[in-house]
Amino acid sequence: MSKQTATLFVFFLAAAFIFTACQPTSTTNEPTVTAQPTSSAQPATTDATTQSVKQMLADASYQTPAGAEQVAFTLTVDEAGVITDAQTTVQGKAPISIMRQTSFAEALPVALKGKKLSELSKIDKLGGSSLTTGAFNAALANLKSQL
Amino acid sequence: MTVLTFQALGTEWSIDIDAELQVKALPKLEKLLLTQTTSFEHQFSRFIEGSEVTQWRVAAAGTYSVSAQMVELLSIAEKLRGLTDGYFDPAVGGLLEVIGYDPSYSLIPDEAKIDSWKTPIWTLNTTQQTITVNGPIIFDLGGIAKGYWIDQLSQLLLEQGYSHHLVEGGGDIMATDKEDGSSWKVALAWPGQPDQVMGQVWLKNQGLAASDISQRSWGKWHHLLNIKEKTPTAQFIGCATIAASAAAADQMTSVLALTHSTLWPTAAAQLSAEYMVLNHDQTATTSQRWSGELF
Repeated sequence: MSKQTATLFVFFLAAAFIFTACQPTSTTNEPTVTAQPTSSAQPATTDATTQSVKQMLADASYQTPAGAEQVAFTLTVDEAGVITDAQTTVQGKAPISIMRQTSFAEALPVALKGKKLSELSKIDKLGGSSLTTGAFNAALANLKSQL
Repeated sequence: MTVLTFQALGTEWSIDIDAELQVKALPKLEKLLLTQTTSFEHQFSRFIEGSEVTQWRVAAAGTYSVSAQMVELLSIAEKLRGLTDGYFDPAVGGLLEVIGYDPSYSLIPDEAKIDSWKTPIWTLNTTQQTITVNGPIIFDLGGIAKGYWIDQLSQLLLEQGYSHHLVEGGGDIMATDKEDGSSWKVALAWPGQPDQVMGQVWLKNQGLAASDISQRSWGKWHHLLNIKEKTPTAQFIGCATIAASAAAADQMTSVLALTHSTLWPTAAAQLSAEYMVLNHDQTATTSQRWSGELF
């Protein structure tokens, strides 16, 4: 199994587990996870400028109290095997499945690279950096000098 | 645009007013903002001896009168304590002191005192304006006081007739709108990297707050603690939140920093807040309706 395929497999096993775990279940009828990548993960065509980036598609099915559900993923994986983008195609039938799949799709983390402040067009204010107090900095410098 | 700056509550403050102020009005306004902020600091800073939050440092168990504003702040704290399942508690002040984050900034943890430290128990009676404590307690209002005060200054500016403004204190913000009705564009600093940004947001009658784990740390400790385990928390690198007020945004950052992610959606709904979290692997997780741009 290639690194990318392994990455994909782990990703969607986790996703299927989350959907299943979130469903209300009876104690006598535990849901089963039947996660199978479709004919292993298939690299899709990517544009010429990003040869090392692969897109991978997979379908997953899982059992819920309301019956079997399907969900599809498209993952973009870079040369190091890191997922840089992930799209979920919601295919749920039961309302609760649609809700879970939608909220999972929205909660997927995205990779950040950041920008230099100078790259931004005019901003009004720089926020979000809780500044360390002068007194704290002085104390820390003093502490370090004693080490 | 008129910009006023001053230092208070251990950080830098800047007030942008979208209007040309008369030159003679400036010093008066500046003095008003500074005087009020300094007075708030003297009453509620844990770092100032004789402040209201430290007056039960050696108190016996009992019921004590508190000021109206202390009731207001402790009411906010009490709600947040509930929202965070007890992981936020202003009674953490005493624990912060024994790990070295004390008024003299010793930054030397006292392991024996950490081991024996127990969370003091306090209850608030809002009608009587009293608190009941089970013994010595030091309140730390970090996580609520700055956002609260940013909103107070915004209110003060409205009362003074300056409707179009942005109040910023140490990176947290409350902004109304600009004179032409448009939003304020605010870049979000990348935690720990001053010239790097992780995104930008547009604020209009909204507050913004941020928490940064990389700051204020020494050894294994930093200023955000798990009060139940008596350990530093480090769930992520940093976070930013947006809500209708700076106070609500500030409270949401405490929820994110101190509680498990399963509690976040409920708290966000209660506080009508949106959030983004920068994870250790440099990915961002956002709430469903986060409207800012991420880079």
